[in-house]
Amino acid sequence: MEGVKLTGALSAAEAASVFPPNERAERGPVAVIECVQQIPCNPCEKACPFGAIEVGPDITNLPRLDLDKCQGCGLCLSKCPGLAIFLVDASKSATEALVMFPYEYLPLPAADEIVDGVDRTGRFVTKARVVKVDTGAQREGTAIVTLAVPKQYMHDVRSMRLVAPGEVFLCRCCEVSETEVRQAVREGAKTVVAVKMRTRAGMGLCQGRTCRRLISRVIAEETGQSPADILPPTSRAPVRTLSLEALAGGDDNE
Amino acid sequence: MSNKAEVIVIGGGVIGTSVAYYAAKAGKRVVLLDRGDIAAGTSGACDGFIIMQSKNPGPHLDLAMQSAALYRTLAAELDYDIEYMPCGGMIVAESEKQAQLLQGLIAKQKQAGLQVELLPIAQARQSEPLLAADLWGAAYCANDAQVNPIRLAQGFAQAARRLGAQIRPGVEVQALLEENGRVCGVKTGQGELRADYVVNATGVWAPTLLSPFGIELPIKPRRGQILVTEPLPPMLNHVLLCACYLIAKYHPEELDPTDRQHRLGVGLAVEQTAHGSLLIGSTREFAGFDRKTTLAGIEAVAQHARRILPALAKVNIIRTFAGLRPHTPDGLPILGPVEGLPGLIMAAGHEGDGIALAPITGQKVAEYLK
Ligand SMILES: Cc1cc2nc3c(=O)[nH]c(=O)nc-3n(C[C@H](O)[C@H](O)[C@H](O)COP(=O)(O)OP(=O)(O)OC[C@H]3O[C@@H](n4cnc5c(N)ncnc54)[C@H](O)[C@@H]3O)c2cc1C
Ligand code: SF4
Ligand code: SF4
Repeated sequence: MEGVKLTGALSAAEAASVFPPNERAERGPVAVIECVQQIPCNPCEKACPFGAIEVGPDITNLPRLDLDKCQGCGLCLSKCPGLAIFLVDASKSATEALVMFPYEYLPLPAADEIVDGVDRTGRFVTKARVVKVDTGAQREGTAIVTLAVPKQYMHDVRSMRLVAPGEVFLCRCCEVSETEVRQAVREGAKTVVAVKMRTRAGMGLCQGRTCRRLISRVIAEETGQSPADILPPTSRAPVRTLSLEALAGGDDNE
Repeated sequence: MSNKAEVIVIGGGVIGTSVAYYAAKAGKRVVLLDRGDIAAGTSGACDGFIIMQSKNPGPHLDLAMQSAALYRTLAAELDYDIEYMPCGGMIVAESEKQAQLLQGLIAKQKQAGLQVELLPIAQARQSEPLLAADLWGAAYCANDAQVNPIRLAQGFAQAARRLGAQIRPGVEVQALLEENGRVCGVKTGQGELRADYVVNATGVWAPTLLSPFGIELPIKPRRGQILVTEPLPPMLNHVLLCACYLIAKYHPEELDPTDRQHRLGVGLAVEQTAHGSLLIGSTREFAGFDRKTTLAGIEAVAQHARRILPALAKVNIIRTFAGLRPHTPDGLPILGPVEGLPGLIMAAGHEGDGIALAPITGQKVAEYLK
């Protein structure tokens, strides 16, 4: 069995049960209350100045969100002791959604920094850009971070991890960091081959099978192109590694 | 783009970037154009030998030795790690006959001031233990070295940029512009650009730009196929060539046409790169502009490598690639002004020596841009 009681994180089914419909997120910011345990707790109810959250007289009830009353102000995020409330907003761009969540770790990210967007269990989902880090007084010591993520991940990204510069290897075979790849793109490398020429990314054991897509994505991010438009590298034999002996074949001549 | 420069360099390989660097260093306003990217041509698909003892004594060896001298301080000068390693080189002789051929070359090289020593196999194996025990031996030269050609081109390009040169990848030159019998600029996909001098450093593609003027440059692509191994711990102490390489290069008449390795011009060239992969090459074939690798080609290279370095049999090959050497009939590059076309300077046709000759080529060509 999978679910919050066993893993400490919501299962996919539990999470899906509390998603606002996509149309609602397309209209503007809205809370996502991922509170699925019936525990005696109701600060969220009072936190909402618009009366959009209702727990009711039995305080072990799950909170219910009125999608029309919710204005997406985000005040409830800081009041939930379980850090179970998030905000999503798909209205700002055609491709990106904003995801807002409480973040209790230090150091805090900076605006415009690229971080790893992670899911409820801390697994990497996507690279994300930090839009805002709110540490204001009403945040009561818990910073609220807003990330921009590709829209398809707005239901998956629920926290983040800082990317130490130089430490994320896009190309693990050759230990080429994302920072190096970005640098290469800024110096003019606009294709996977060009990045490879500058950084060696893609020349290692996997021959680009793992890193090719990641590199295309970085180029796409840096240049504003779509990943589909980024030229793929040329592939040449052998596609799987072979020993020299195997390549040489049996006899020394025809 | 500003549409007047002093020097336009066409081609961002090791040669074009070197010319751009030395010209910018001499104070010229330089624009370098490449239709692809830095090192997108042959310079991104080759070995990195800076080998002296393969050069014919005479102008060829003289140029190479001047280039080798520039290499010693180049990384510091460019402030860029070009993975230069003064490791020394060996040319392996399989037989007595090959050893004699080397001996003849060595005598002339000594006169030109290059120290090369012919070592019997037992002695050669003391410093290069992976060599097969049943080879005849090897010629050793301490002045041979290696470099990473891609990083070399990047290093030249970035240093040129710091000196004010414009480096513009993605711009294809469609034609040379001529006015009153003088080359005065280039026509590109993004407009015209004028300059006092235009340098043609487009390697195997160099003839195309000259044919409209009725000039046929004798440069032909000669393909070389290379195998790349997984990264390995340090296992080679030198850059290694075999004497077949020299025979294929200088005495093709000695080749046996019934032998596939000979037919494909296989001459072994093995180096270990800074990050551990071995580059094992290569063939010398005329196959037009086809940059594909062929099964016959990589098989022949693998067989030859196994013959010379049996210990490599179990090593994994992760990739193969092919590059096009800008071949000329006399093996020498075409450098300098072109008779009947003032304003145009040639810097192409370095065949299998473009890496070794890149620094000196840039320096010499910059001298023509007065
Ligand atoms: C398999 C192999 C192994 C080799 N090993 C060695 C070695 O160990 N040591 C050594 O010294 N040499 C070696 N060489 C030779 C060496 O690689 C070449 O001599 C050298 O790279 C040539 O450099 P280049 O700058 O002249 O040409 P290139 O690197 O081909 O550069 C020419 C550039 O011009 C650009 N271009 C072409 N046409 C146009 C146009 N119309 N407009 C704009 N741009 C254009 C191309 O995109 C290209 O980037 C080897 C070659 C091969 C193939
Ligand atoms: S965001 Fe504001 S409106 Fe929406 S639920 Fe939280 S408090 Fe209520
Ligand atoms: S405050 Fe947080 S934990 Fe309590 S009910 Fe509301 S959402 Fe659940």
